[in-house]
Amino acid sequence: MRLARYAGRRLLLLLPVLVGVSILTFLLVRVLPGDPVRTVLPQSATEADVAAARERFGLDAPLPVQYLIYLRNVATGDLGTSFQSGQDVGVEMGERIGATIELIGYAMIIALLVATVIGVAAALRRGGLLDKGARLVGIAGNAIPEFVLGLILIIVFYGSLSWAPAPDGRVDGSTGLVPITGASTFDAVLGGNLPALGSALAHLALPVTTLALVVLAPLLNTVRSGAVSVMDSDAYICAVAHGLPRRTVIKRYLARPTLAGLPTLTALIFGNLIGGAVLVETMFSWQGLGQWALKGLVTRDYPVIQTFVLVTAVAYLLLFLIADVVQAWLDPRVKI
Amino acid sequence: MSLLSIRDLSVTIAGSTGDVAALSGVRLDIEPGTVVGLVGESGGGKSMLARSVVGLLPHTASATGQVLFEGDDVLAMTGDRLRRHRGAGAAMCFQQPLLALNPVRRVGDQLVDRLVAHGGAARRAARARAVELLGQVGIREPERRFRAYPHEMSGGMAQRVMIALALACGPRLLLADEPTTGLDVTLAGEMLALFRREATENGRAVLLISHDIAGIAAVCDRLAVLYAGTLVEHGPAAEVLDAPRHPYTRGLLAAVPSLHGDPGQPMRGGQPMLGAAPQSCPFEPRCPSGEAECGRRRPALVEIGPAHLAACPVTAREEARG
Ligand SMILES: Nc1ncnc2c1ncn2[C@@H]1O[C@H](COP(=O)(O)OP(=O)(O)OP(=O)(O)O)[C@@H](O)[C@H]1O
Ligand SMILES: [Mg+2]
Repeated sequence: MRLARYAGRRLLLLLPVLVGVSILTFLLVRVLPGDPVRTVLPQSATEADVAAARERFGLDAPLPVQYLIYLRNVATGDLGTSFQSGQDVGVEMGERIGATIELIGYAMIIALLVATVIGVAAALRRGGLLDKGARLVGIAGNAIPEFVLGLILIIVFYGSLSWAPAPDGRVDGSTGLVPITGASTFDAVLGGNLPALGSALAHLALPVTTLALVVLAPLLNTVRSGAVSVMDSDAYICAVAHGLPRRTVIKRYLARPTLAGLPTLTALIFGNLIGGAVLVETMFSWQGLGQWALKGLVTRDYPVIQTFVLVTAVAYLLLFLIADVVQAWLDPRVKI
Repeated sequence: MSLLSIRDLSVTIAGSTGDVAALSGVRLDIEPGTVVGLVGESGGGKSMLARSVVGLLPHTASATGQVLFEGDDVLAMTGDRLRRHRGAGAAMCFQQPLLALNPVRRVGDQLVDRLVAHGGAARRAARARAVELLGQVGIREPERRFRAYPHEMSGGMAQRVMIALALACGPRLLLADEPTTGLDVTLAGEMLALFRREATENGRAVLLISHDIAGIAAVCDRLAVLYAGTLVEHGPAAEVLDAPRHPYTRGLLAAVPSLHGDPGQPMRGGQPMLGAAPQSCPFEPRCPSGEAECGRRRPALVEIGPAHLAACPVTAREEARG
C-alpha cells in the first residue's frame, strides 16, 4: 500500500520531465540537417508541391505554435501521423512495442539470473576458476560492441551450425501466428499455437542472447563485488560463526543482502538495453520499436522520432521507479 | 580434560603495512561451568583469540599451535565437522552487534535460523522458543520485537539480540566479545549476571572479553590478561584483582577511577604493534620495575601461586623470596 502510493506520487512527477523531454526533442529534430518533406516527395516535385506538403505536415506555422499544437494532440492521445507511411504513429508504435518489450524483457531476466548465480558463486570461491572466468567475461564483455557480438552469434549459430533460424524476423510466417500483443511468445500462448511458440523462441534465442551478453558483463561485476563486500561484513561472518547451514547462509545472509544493494545500479545498466535494442533489432530484422525509430531518424520522420524519444524517456523513468520500489521491498532500511 | 585448551597459539596477520603478530604463544584453558575474563587494552588480540576458537580468522591470517575443543583441534577442522563446532560447540557474540546482525532479515527469523540449525526443530516450533529467548535476554514485548529489523533497535537492544543469537545455538562455550561496551551500568550489570547464570545454571563455559578488568571481575572465576598478543597473567579472579602479579595488570587496575573521586592513574605509553613474536618482554618499555634482563629475554608464563601464572621474572623472584 505504502509502495503503491509512493509509485503514484512518482508517476505524477513524471509529467514535467516528459514535457521537458518533448520540448527538447521537438527542437532537436528540427535543427537536424535534412528536410523531411524532400524525402517523401519525388525528385520532380515543384516548389508549390513542397509548400503544399509542408502545410499538410503542419510545418509551416512558427515553431512555438507547432509545439503547442503537438502538445495538445499528445494530451488527447494523438501522437501524430507518420510523414512516410501516412499512418497514425500511435497505432504503428502499438504494433511494434510488444516485440521490443519481449526482446528486452527476456534479455533482462536472463542476464539478471545468470549474473546473480554466477556472481555470487564466484564470490564464494574467490580466486577460483569460476571467479577468474567471471572476471574475464567482465572485462571482455565491456570491450565487445553488441553488433560484433550479434554478428558472431549469427555466423556461428545460423551460418555454421544452423541451430538458429535466419535473422529475418520474429516468427515463421507459416505458423499463422495472429498478432495480439506483438510479443510473439505471449501471442502464441494466448492463441494456443504451439508451433508458433517454438518458432518464436527459436527466433528470440540469438537476439536475446546478444542483448543479455551486452549487460551481463557490468551486471556480473556489480553482483560479484557486492557479494564480496557482503562476505567481508560482520553479519555474514556471524552467520558462518554460528554454524548455519550453507544453504541458509548463501540464500539469506549472502544473496539477499547482495541483491538489496543492487537495484539502482541494475536500472542504470539496463538503461543500455534500450539503445542496444535499436542495433540488435536492425541486425535481426525484428520489426520492433528500435528498427522503426532508426528508419524514422534516417527519413527525418518527426512524429516517429518524437514518439520514440518520448517512449524511451517513459521507459527509463519507469525503470528507475521500479528499481526504487524493488529496493524498498528488498531493503527494510530504505524509507520511501 | 578441559573443554577448551589453547596451546601455544600464534596468529600472524599479513597487512598492507607489514605483518602483525596478533597472538604470540598463548596458552589458556577453560572448564565447563566457569567464566573466564579476558582483558587488555585495545589491539591486544582479544578478538583474534575468540575468532580462532571458532576457526574464523581473517583470510590474511596464519595460525600455529593448537586450539583444542573437547580434544579436537579447531585449526585442523574442515567442512561439516567445523560447521558443527561453530555455534553448537562455541558460539560468539560479536563485538559490534549492530554490524553483526543481518540488516535485511527480521531478528526473530535470524534467531529461528540458529534454533533450526542446532536444535533440529521445525521453524514453527522454533518461533515460540525464539520469542522466549528474546524475553530471557531482557527484551520487553518480545513478541513484537521478533518482527523488528536490526536498524530499528538501540545499541543495547542489539546487544541483547546478539546474546540471544549465540544462546540459540546452544553452545557449550560462549564467547562474548565486549558484550558490555557502550551499555549503561545497569544494563551492563544485567548482561554480566546473565553470563554468570549461563555458566552456573546451564554449565556453559564463558569467555568474557572486556577492556574493563574491574567491571567484569565480580562475575569471573578466572581472569586472563593479554598484552600485545601475549598472555601476561592468568589466575583466580579475586586474586588477580586483589593481588595482581604482573606490572601490566597492576597498571590496568590503577587506571580504574574509584568511586571516591580518585580519577585513576592512566598508564604511560601505549601497547606496541608487534611485527613478530617478541624476543624480550613486550611490556618492558612501559614497566616501572623493569630490569636489564627484561630487555634481553621474553619472560615465560610461570606458576607463581596455586593456579596463578604470571610472565614477569621480577615478581617471580619476589614471590620466591617472600
Ligand atoms: N582483519 C584484520 N586485518 C589485519 N589486521 C587485523 C585485523 N583484525 C585485527 N587486526 C590486528 O590484529 C591485532 C589484534 O586485534 P584484535 O581485534 O584482536 O584486538 P582487540 O584486543 O580485540 O582490540 P579491541 O579491544 O579494540 O577490540 C591488532 O593489532 C589489529 O590491528
Ligand atoms: Mg576486539
